[in-house]
Amino acid sequence: MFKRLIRTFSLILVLGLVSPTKADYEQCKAVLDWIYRELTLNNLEKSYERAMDKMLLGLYTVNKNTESKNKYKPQMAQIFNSLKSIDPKLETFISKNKSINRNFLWWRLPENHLKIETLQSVFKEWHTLQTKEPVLFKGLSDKYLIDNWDLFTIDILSNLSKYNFTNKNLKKNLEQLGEELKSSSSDILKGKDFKLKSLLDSINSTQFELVRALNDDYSDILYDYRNVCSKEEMNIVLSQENTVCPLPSSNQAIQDLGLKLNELQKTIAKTDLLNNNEITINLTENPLVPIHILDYKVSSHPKVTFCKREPELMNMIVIHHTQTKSKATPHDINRMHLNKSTDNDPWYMVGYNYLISESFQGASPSTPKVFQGRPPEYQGAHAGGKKFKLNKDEKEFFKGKTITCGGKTEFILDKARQESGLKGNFRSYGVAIIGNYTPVSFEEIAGVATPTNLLAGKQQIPSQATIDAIAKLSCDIQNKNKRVKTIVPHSYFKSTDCPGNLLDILVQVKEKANELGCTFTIETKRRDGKWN
Amino acid sequence: MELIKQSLLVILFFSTVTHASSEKEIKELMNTYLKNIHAKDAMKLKKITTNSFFKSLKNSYLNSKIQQTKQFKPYSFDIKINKANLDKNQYWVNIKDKTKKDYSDYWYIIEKDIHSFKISDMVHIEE
Repeated sequence: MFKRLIRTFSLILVLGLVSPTKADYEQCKAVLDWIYRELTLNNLEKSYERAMDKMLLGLYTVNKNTESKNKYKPQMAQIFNSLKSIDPKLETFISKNKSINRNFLWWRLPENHLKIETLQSVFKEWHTLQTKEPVLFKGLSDKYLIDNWDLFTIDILSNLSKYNFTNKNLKKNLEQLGEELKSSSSDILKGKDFKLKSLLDSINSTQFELVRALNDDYSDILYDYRNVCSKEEMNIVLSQENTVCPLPSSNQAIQDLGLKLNELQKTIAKTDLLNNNEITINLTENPLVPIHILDYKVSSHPKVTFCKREPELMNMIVIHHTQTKSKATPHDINRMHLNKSTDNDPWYMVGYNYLISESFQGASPSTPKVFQGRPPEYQGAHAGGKKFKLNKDEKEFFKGKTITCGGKTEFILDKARQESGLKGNFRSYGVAIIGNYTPVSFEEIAGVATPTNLLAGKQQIPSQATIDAIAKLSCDIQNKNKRVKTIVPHSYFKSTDCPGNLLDILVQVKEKANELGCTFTIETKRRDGKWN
Repeated sequence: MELIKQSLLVILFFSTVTHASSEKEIKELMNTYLKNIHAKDAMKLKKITTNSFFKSLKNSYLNSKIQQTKQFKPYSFDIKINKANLDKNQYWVNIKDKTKKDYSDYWYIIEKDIHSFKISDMVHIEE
């Protein structure tokens, strides 16, 4: 899209080198009309579809995450109540349909059921809910969360709806014009052999209604585009015997337009709106090992924060054992971690991203189960302690990259500088096997060799199925994020017994993962202040 | 107004005294624990631990052939006491030898009942 815009500007530049005529003015206007339609109306429809896809996927996820309770959480119920006024059948539909066909979407809503103000409030509520109750959205990738672009889209729709947006003739007219402009666009951009008159007729035939619909509420967005080649401005320029459309270097309006377009292009690139408009809803992917989602209690401490990180930052898996009885449940581990919290260091929830149990919810040593802990997009709390200074490659890699902690987005390099390094948690997924795999160990305190492992008499050995489960989970993680290529024990980061004799099975994990088509490196030697 | 202020001061005073008293009791408890671990005195350890913790202790350390080689040095340890965030009567306690710089990742969980404090578990969590 942006390349086309640049070419458009080149065209304007070329046009500027010849003598200005009335036809040139019209041509310039047509091109700019095309630009603002491409950037507004066409995209508005795309954005609308995108926002609705995301809302539907969000509803599905929250519903799935709360279904075990047989009733919706209060916030969910509130959202549903709002949505019911848009479509009374929606709640039943969401509850009953476990696989959502992307083709079934909200197409019918604008014409038949859309109460745009209600929809606007639902999107706002949904956006707030995502921030306040992230656990409800467990398992939903960040890119499917409602963002400012979606809110903006709905806002525009809301404004347009006041101007008879549901008028089918206008809509049809606009669509037709859009198609025509699109098909002519390559010719327009080449600056030759396009049917300017036909195009202008088409533009003019919808112009009046369009402007009436857009003029006031949409003017903030369109103002710059519409007025760059306004008659008034053209007159001024022509009287100075200058170019048809003002050149970027000589006219503030077009400079502003350039800036606006640049800004818009950046936003679009960030949201991947144009290049990757199709949102893939992959609810039926087949992981090697199913990951069970649990409803954990989370800390309500006012100071509690968590960090959300982009998957591209991740590069390793850290293996732990919980050093508890194997009967301990993920909820027990979560409670333990919450209890450990202090006012100065409150924990959001369980620190591991995944937990493997040989007993919980029907699991056994021969059929272990994998449970999600702290959602993997959140930085875990499992390999803290010593911070590691960044090496040259890492400094280069982190350049310009950010992480969001407690709602505040900061540059990673700044964070590393302020905190004198980064913790092992930062780039890793924490996988804990529930149980005690530590050999006999002691710690000397006040002259007493104090046992640090009270289950030493019943030291566990991981079953083959558990080893396989670790390998499958690691593979699933790598399949989603190819950068994750290393598996390390907790002891890679610090002096600790963890993960006990699980250290000895890491090679088997690697081999099993290899059989499954994944390639991992195992690092067991202490990092000792250096990233590998 | 004055009465309310005085009441608040009394409450504050008692809560401070109670907290200080709890800390003292917990330190005493950990001292007794170390002393009896050193002596492998099962009867005394049973009194200061919960049934499940004692069972674990019995199954592992107390039944082992491990002998203490050094002499017990009373109160020669540093202690860190945190009140549990969710469970009201629970404390998280970490102890270390005075000569060591850092606390380990091993935490004792101490439960308070009406009469006394008891060691109920030991867990390993990142500090």
